[in-house]
Amino acid sequence: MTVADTYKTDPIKGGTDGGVMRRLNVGTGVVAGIVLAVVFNLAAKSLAKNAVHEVDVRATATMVGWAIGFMAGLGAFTGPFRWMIGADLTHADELFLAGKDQGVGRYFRFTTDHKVVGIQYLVLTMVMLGAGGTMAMLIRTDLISPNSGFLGPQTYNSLVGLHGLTMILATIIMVTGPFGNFVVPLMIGARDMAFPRLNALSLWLLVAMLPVLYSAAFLGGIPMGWVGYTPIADQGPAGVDSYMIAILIFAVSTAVAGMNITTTIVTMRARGMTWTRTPIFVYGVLASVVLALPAFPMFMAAEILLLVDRLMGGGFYVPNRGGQPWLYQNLFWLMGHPEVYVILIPAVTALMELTAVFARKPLYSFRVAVLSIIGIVGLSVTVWAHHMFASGWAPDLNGPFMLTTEMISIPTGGLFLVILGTLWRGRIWTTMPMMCTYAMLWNFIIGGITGIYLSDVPLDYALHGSMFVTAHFHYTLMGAGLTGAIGALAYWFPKMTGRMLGKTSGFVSFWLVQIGFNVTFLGMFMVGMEGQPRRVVHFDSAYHTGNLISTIGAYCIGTGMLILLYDVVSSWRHGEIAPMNPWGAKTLEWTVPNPIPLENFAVLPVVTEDAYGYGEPAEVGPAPVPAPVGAGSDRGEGAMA
Amino acid sequence: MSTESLVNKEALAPEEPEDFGERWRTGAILLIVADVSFVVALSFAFLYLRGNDTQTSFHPGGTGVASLWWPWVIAAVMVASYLAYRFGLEAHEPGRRHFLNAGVLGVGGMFSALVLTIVEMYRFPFHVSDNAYSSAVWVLAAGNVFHLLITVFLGLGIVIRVQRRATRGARDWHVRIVGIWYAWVCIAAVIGALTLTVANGTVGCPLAPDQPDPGARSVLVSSCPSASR
Repeated sequence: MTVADTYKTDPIKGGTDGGVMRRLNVGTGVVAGIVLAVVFNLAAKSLAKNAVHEVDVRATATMVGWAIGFMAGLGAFTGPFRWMIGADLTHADELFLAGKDQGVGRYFRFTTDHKVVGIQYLVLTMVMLGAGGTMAMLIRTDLISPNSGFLGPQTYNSLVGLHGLTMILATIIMVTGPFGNFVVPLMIGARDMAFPRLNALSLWLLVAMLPVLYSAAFLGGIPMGWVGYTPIADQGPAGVDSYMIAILIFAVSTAVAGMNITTTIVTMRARGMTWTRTPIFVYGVLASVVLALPAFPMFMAAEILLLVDRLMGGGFYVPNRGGQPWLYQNLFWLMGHPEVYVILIPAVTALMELTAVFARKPLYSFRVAVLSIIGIVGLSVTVWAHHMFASGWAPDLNGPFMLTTEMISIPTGGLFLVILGTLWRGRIWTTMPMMCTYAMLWNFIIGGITGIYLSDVPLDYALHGSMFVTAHFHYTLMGAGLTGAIGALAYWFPKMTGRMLGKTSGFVSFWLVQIGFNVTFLGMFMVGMEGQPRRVVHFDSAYHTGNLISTIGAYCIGTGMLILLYDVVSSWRHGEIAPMNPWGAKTLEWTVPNPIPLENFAVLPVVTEDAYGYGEPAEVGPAPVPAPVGAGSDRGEGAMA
Repeated sequence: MSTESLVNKEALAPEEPEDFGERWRTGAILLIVADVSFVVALSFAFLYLRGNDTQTSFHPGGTGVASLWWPWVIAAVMVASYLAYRFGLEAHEPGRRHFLNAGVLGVGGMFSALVLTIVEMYRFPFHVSDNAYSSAVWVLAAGNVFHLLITVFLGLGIVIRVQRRATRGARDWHVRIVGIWYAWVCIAAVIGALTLTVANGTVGCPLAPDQPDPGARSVLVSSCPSASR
């Protein structure tokens, strides 16, 4: 098996090698994007001249033009076009797209190798988290005292919306993007994702989305917060158009990525990797994308209806034309609550994965873990209206939705028990990834229990729209989700970069972030229970102390995150060289050498045991030795430069 | 997790087209699942607004009602195109020319449906901005246009590939997967037509006695169910 076979796509009659596609990269994408944006803008100007919605039509056309032009200039449409004319890409072209024998340049092209895409996702996620975190610092600085005047009300409002949206989008991709792409194919013994070109497409769509999203800041902002509630969104400035187009691009990217990851896991697991031998992290990623696949099109539909309202004067959300803002809320939360688990499940399962490694014990009750994940996925689509208790929509359904919401704590508790059972009497190796497991347990308990309060209808009426809610979802999404992602980064960093993450700075960063996090959001619980509303720039002086504490905590988080960023960058460049399997883990990704060959495995592995046989006698069969990676690569084409 | 090398011919051989095909089929079906969710959301939006009839303005009197003739005819044309494609697929083995003709017929039918849908949109007796009903009808039609554009692209691609002898016969996975898409867009068109039929069935019907009549009279009152709202 040679590397050429890895990307064989069975063309009967292919086109010719090379051509203009080999000259396309992010630079040509930007140029084409700008050109098409200008063209679309001018076309919209002439078509919608003097129309009531001219500004919105032009803004939307410009953004759509940018996105199409960027993707075309990058070469994303080359494959489909060549397919249509019956001149498929040749093997040489596929290998070029996979980044074979290319240096750093492959990170700036439409590269299809899952490892490159995983790294690109990692960098993109860090950029988004950095942008969202900077906005959070500005918000907290403004809230350091009542009427601080640091930000104007309009700027504050816009920043809160952009911060929320940036962070939600970043947290959705922060585990399934980098680790789902880089690690999962290795973990299941596959050579690449099922659809390498669609893999690159999903990544670059997100890159195309970023300028669209942040253009909102220059187009009047998004005054309705990250949820985009109507009717404010119907009446908002052109920044709302940025919001809509960004969501549409994101939804397409998510659908493509979800389809790709699901197909990869379902159809490309190594021989012998039955579902009971599949690592729990793979289950987590699968659950996340399976949940996202039908959920995000609902959000997409909600935004398309909003688009019709804003650009063409439609009446979907305008009551005096028979529209209904509750429609938006329903469509939004049909996506919005499953999305919480889209974020949480892969993060928690990443920590489960590494907990078994560092406790040197089999994962406690693997089947309970899987059943809990299935339970969460199933229940998460039945709880959406608990976000709408205070809206007045269908009061008769408040009771059933309260019940389903509280029921979801049962399978969630199952995940806790699995982790605790794994830790119990384990020979624990206290590393930074392992510390993240402890932190997640603490934070998620607080986030989960306060969630039960909020699912209770009378309490929700009292706490809805307060800082209590803000603190609650930060405890779940950041305290559990982001902590899980940081743990995953620290755990798989040696495999992804070939270097070890710095220990001392890692621990310093960990403690600063976790202490700062709890100071920030426990303070926020306090002012929330006292009645401080969220998304309001000026607050009463009675809440001053709590807000001051929260801001001090936020600075601690910011400092800790900067140290983590420094640690990642410096370790990536100059860190200690990582051995092939620094943690002594048993999953397949640790059986490939560093740097990982393009085809991952020279000989496809056959799995004969489950992934968590730590401390157990070997079953009958071959000794647990790594696959002879590299040995089967005739002509030595496997190694990457 | 322990592993062992598999050193037999089967493992070392490149993947068979059937393996690729199954993988692609799984992917296509998953994308269709996402699209199903999208279509259901649009249909739900239409019926939800119809059911709420906020401020009795969903479809107030004096505004037009979309004809049911157009969506059902378009759906029929699409189904006929799919059947032609399917028939050609079954007959692909005996001769490539046979499938080529059926493929051309299929994509031609889908293109006709595309043109018909655009004509339908031009002939709507209302503007998209008139009310929630007109907006919803317009969006359903636009959704069909979007589906048909993709279908024409795929159908054209298959015809060109068959003509260039870049397929492996009736079992070729490109051909089969495009067939799955053809079937799905037909179902989506029928869902759209059904949604419009259900919504139209009560548009303009009198309200319950304790509610004001919006005044719309575009359908026969005899066709209204009692206490339809």
